[in-house]
Amino acid sequence: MESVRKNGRGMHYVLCAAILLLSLLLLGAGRFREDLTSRRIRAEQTKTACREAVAALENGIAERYRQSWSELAGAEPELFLRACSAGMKPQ
Amino acid sequence: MRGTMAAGGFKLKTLMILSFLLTWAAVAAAHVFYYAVARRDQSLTDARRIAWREAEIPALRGRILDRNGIPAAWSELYHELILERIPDSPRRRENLRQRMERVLPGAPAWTGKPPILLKSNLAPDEIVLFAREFRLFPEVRIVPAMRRVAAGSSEIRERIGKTAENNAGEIVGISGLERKYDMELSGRAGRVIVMLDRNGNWCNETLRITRRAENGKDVTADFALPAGTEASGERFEHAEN
Repeated sequence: MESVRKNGRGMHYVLCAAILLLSLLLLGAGRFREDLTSRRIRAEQTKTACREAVAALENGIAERYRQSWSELAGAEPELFLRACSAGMKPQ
Repeated sequence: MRGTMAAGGFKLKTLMILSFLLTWAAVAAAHVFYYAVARRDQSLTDARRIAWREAEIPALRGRILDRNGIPAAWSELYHELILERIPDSPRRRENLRQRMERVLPGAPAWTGKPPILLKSNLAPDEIVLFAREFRLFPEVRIVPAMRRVAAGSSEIRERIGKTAENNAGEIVGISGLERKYDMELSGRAGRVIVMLDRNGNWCNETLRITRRAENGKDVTADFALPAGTEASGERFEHAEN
């Protein structure tokens, strides 16, 4: 009878530990999801800023290339921003 | 008696292991403290120097329009594919050569001293293609350049004037209207900071535009370009950078 009571108490501890672990896992998952969301928002903001920066240069592109510049730079603004930037130096 | 001795030995071993773990933890904590607190600024400066780069986004110089609003002088942005240095490792050199033969047949041989111009006036689809194909070869770069284009007769072009690069790398008007309206025509370059990977590629997630580029303002002149100049006008070009 005593051993059953002891085992039952042991199970309580195991159950508590399992609940605690699950809570921590859920907390971690929540934070991970938050992080992913904020990263996606940040990436979108960067893309928009790059798109604007590249679009501002469109008037300087030779007329025969302007149409394809507009399409391709809109799709991959970071790539075109890199192609347009110069004077790379350590910060 | 033997049991007491064994217990004593066990205690000693436990104490030794615990002492070792404690010492290890103390050393690790001291290291964390040293780098995170005592040397924090220095570590951040080193990290910035190694991985972070700052670059300029060019601004377009304003146009000079004739009195009817037809552009008489404007800046054109074009791109060049440049081999900045020849790889040191023979294997890498061979890889680059093979890649170049495949992507850019007829590219100039690497006989001269770098930088070697591989192709000028890249079309936008070529920019995408070369940026992708040479992603793992930081020796090959797509470089932007500007040229000032003017239309009209030689007298009009003389009135428009010329531009040149000053010591700070800025384009300034050195004669004619370009000089007279330099303040209005000049834009302000933007600035971007980004972290580079070990191949020198941009980590796009770290990209941040810290200052937007501001293009120069257009200026209207009092002359009129002859009819049809815009479509077939003479152009003279000089590289701005």
